[in-house]
Amino acid sequence: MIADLGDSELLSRHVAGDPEAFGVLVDRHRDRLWAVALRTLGHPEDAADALQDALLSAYRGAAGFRGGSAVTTWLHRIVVNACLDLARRRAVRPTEPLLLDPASEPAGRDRLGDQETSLAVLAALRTLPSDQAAAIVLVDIEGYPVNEVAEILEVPAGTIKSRCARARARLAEQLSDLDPRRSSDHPGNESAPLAVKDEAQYGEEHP
Amino acid sequence: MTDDHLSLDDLAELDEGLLPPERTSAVRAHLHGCSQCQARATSIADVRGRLANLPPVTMPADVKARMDQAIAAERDVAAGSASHAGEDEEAPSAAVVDLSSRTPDVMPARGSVKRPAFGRPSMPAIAVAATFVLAGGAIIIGHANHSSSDGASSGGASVTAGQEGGQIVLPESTANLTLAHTGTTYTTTDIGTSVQGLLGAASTLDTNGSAQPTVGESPTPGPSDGVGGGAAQSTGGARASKSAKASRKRSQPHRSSAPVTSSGSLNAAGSGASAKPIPKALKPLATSRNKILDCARNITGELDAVPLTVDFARWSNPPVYKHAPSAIFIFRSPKPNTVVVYVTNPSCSGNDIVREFAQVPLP
Repeated sequence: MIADLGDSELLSRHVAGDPEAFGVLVDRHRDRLWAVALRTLGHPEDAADALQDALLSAYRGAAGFRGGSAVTTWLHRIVVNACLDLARRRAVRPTEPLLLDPASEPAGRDRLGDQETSLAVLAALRTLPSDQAAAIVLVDIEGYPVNEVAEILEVPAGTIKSRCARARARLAEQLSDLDPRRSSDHPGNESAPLAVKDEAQYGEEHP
Repeated sequence: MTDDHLSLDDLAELDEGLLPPERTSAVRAHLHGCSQCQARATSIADVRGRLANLPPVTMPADVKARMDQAIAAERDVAAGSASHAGEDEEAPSAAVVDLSSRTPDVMPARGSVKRPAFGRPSMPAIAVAATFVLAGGAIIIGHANHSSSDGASSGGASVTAGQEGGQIVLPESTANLTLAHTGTTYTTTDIGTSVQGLLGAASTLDTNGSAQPTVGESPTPGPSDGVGGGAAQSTGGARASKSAKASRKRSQPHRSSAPVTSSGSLNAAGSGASAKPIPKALKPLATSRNKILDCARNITGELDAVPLTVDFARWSNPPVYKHAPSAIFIFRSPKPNTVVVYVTNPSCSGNDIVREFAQVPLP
């Protein structure tokens, strides 16, 4: 049974021309990959676009997989990079009104209050710079060990920790604004919308 | 200092063990006696908890269907090129494959055209990435100039979006990509003649519209400057059409049969003595084959867009742009004797990713 094969065996078979292997591999990890894309980008349509780009990249680039890391690490890396690429491209959009569709969030086991909390957290998540968002999604939401996330994002573990710390500080700031029990006396650390950062970066191109 | 309250950043770094030792002791000491900061420290822990407790998500059925179809379409394309690969000796033939019935809405055009257009006509169909975006139209796969022994000119399947409105004809899989650094400052009024001049200098377009570079000499600063850096990468490219399997095996992580070859190398063209150094801002783009192809994809929204020629030059459109380093991407157009020109910024991103768009008739 092809479904019983390990990830790297599936990938090898795909590279060797097995038409089914890649589909089986993707199927096995699809929910996790989807969760990473959705949480990093915050928008189902964007997440689907990025994931599709990523899967096709992986499909075509499978021969480039060196085996130095787990197949899942490699897959996650491609997905996260596709998300970051897309976030960069999306940054050209003017800051759009926050459209968080409660219907896109699973209602299931949540009571309404929990769901509101979730939405607030997700809304706050969307204000993070995308590299921080990717780190915190992988570490705090998906629960991957810092070392694995460092491997996925190809940066030192210390960088992941520091991105996570900054992201948590930012989220705490925003979520405490919503929480009357804790009024913030530290108004600094405003989150700069991506688009502004992006413009500043290329400012010298407008003499 | 020690009397100041702790910032959330401090507390988050303490929590993550990132503070240097002395700072850690100072922060702990303050925290010990400050209920306000203790509450803020709790808020960091709260954030962790709230993130960890977000409800898990599963891929919705429609997204799953879309991914499955995209992968299936990619597999079909790979299988299609495999079946063509063995036909080197045959006369050019065309196969019309109508995939519309089995791949509805595999990849709707969204996600590709959403960018601010600066004086650019709207191009609803530009997102048709012909190799696997099958937006309901027939895909025509034919052979162009298929020669068996000469790697440089052996084209793979030439894939054309068989839909009116498609703005870009993708080059065949081993088409040439010519890079130039003419130092020209392109302007809205001169873009046509500049492009015509560039194409005249760098290549001639035969009646089939395929590029045949005629530039042999490397201009200063030449390949040592990195422009020719793709040469090594693309040695395999010339052989790509020999076998689809080989083609798959050599495929890059982010690009498939990315067709950047010209006599097996990334061509550097400049108008001889008039060639000027590449503007510094453009170096990263100009020296990376992958960046060029990524950029082509970003500006056109075409996953497999490969430009005919790229000139790393300048753009003026006062008062906004004055000799701004810009990359001039030239693509084939489905219209005969016409090319499509995009002017983009060095990073190939941001809100002026497309500084100008033009269709230029060729003489």
